[in-house]
Amino acid sequence: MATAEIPVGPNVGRSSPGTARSARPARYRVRRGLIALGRLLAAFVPVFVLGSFFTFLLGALSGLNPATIQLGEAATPQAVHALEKQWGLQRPFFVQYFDWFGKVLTGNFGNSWVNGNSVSSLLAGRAVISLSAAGLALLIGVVVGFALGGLATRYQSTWVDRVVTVFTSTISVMPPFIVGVALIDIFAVNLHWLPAAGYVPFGNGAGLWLSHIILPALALSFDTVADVARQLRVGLVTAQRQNYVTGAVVRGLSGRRIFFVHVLRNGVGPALAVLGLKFPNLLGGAVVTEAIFQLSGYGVFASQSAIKGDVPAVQAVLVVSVVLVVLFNMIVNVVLTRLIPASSRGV
Amino acid sequence: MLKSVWRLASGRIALALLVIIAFLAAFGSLLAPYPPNATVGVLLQGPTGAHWLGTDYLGRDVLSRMLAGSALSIGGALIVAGIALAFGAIPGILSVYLGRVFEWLSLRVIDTLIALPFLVFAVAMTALLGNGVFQATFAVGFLLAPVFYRVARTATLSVAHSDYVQAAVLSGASTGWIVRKHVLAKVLPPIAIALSTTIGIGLVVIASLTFLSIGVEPPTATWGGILASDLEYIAIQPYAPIAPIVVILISVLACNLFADAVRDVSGEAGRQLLSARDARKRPAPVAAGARAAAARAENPVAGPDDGPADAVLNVRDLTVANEVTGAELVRDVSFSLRRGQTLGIVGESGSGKTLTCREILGITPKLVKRAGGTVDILGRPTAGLSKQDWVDLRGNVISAVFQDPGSYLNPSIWVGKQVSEVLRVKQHLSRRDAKRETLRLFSAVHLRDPELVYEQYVHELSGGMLQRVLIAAAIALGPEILIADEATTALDVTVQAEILDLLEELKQREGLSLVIVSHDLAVVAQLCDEVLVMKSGKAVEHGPALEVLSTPRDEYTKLLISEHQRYGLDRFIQAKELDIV
Repeated sequence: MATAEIPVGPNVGRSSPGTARSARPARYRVRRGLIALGRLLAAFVPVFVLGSFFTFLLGALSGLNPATIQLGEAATPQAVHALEKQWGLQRPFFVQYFDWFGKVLTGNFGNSWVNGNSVSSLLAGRAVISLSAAGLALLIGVVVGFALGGLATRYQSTWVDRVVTVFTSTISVMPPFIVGVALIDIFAVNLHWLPAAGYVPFGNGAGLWLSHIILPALALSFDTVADVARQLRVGLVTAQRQNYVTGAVVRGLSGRRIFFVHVLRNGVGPALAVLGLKFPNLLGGAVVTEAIFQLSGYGVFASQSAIKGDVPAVQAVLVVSVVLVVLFNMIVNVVLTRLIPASSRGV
Repeated sequence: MLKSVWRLASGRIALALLVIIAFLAAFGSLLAPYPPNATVGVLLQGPTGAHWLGTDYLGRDVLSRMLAGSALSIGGALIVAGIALAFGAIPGILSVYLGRVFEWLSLRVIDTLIALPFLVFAVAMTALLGNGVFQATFAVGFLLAPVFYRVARTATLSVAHSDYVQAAVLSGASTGWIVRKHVLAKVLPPIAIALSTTIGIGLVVIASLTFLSIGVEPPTATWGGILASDLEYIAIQPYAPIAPIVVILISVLACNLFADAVRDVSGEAGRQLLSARDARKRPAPVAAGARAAAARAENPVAGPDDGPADAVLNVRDLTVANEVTGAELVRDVSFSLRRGQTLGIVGESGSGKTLTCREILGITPKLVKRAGGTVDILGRPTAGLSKQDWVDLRGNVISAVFQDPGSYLNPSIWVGKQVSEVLRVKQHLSRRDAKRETLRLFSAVHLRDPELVYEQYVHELSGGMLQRVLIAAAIALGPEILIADEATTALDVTVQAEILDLLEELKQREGLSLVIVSHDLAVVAQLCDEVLVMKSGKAVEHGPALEVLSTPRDEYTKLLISEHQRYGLDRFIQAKELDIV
């Protein structure tokens, strides 16, 4: 984006300080906001549309239909035909797609081919479990990642920095299902500190809920912790070298103030951006961690439905996960633009 | 490339591990002591002489199953990487050549693929499309394609539009030579990095899928499947998961180590790393700085000089050196700045003028330190100042503005807030008072429309406006000394003149003492009372501006002045006038 034009009107001149605030800064800010919103939508609407199309295409390519599931081997061609008609599967591909997409926009994912229940209601309860695990993992990732990255920057090129680097490179190669098994082995089987499996809703007690959710969340979080710590260190070290830090020093600001006001604000960019990239992994990782810790979340639902060939159920999970990713990335993007306004120019 | 990788210790470990892994994938099942799917011992037994890794819940030999499973676990990852390469690289290369529609569409598809929750889609694709090994590797490879799309696209772009390839073509080089010399050197390292990280990810994903028994039906042995059954019986055999965990982790680690090693040795940074390692093996040069300091100690400078009585800044025999190489970047520079006066420091780039200013401000870069001499600000030596002393001094007593003013302001905060920040923090003004004072300062530096500028970001202002903002920030606390280091260098000539006028005006009105650093004699001639000419870190001439400029004694000063006369506009205009006459 080119340098924004300063609106020049007839009343532009030397306005002495203390006069009533002119309308221009306000109008200017509104326009800035609208441009940002437009850019945000332009970046994320295609992802949603393509992601959902891809999901639908996958169902069509699978060649599965409710007849094979409900009628089994005994299906007669007439019965299959009748069922396909009942589900509207004899219609042209794009008619089916637009029908499905329209319903998806209203939150209707159709009915399960296996038991005929509404997929939305099947999914709603499970999504809470998956989101608690992913959300807690995200929290761990941000808190521990920021702490480690901050430490490494503060004690740059000392042994602290090296220990953090070795630690983050080590945990970054550990996939969730391996960490999960190892955590169960240590904390549930050997130490008997925490339950190995299952889920207790938050309503039954926060401590109980946490004790069931903490190990899956930890297993999911390793990768995020490592990447946030590394990117934060890179971002902060880069920011510390910038001229505006020298500028702030020369203006007589203290080192602490410069770090918290000027360096941190510009240095978190890469770490925030990587958070946006990691969120899909946290959601995707649910498939394995839920299997390991026997949580009946949406990940297990996805793999079980996929094995059964329940196409509407799988499509629902995939679309919901795409929506979650898109929403999360939009939030990251908004935060990023608020923190570092110049960053929006590159999108 | 492999040779460079081998020179790093981590590269050697990675290569050795990769060879072992490749060997296991190829011949693992032949090494198995027992058939992998046969019951050959007691159920769920720990490690024994006959079964090194024990037996599983069906009494099968775990070592044999691990070895037999390596083909599928590793081979799967290799196939995944191959499919990802094909699916990514081909459209990546085509995106440069097939026109904008294809480019836009393919970029959107890649954006989408990156945003998908990978594992859920991998599971769904594999299971819905037929739930076999082929489907699993296809699905995972397809979802991992974006990495290669980007690598291939970047590489193609850099080759297709690069000057050096065109230059080589024009100079008649053969296609084969160009490809070997330029294209491969540039394209291979990123592809090698992407391949080895993708194989690592492929290993993890294939293990995850087989752990969920997706894509592979029991009893086929896979590392993921073995881990899954270990988890089932973890209460009986708590140590059984160690074997598959260690094997999977080491394989992934080998891939990542290799990628890191390639990253470390490729490109410009890699060449520097390798040559630095070579250099370290040679004996270190004797510290020149120490020698110079010793020489100076033998010839002490005659008596300390406190400078004129009304000096606000007094610099005596200032020497600044690089701590590591010992090179002296500024040598024995002395000058005084008297209250209300302007001192000009002139010299070519690299002459040490900026470093002198930075040492006065206490902001020298890392490794560059004062090696001798004194700097007194308002009669107070700066040598022993604590961090807090400096904070109190800067802004309040001494301040500075620089070339490229935009970079000295935080890009993420309104410029007005950055000025009022100084007032709030250091003068403890309220938010409203600080803002009012900032707007007053903005008017004082002749910014039009201070209210609007207050709420603007750096990227929304022009260079001249930014320099005015920076000056406003610098004088906010009413300092005694303002250092303007090439403050007008990158600005348009008209803007340059305006800023110089502003500095002169502020000097009069606010009672500032100025140090103006410039490579431009015209700037110095206009504003300065005294001039210091620097060359190669030394002050070659020092005196009243008029005297230095009219009757220079030093050769270098003479050269500067004659160059200026020869190429200056005055002479050009005079010549024209002569022509007309």
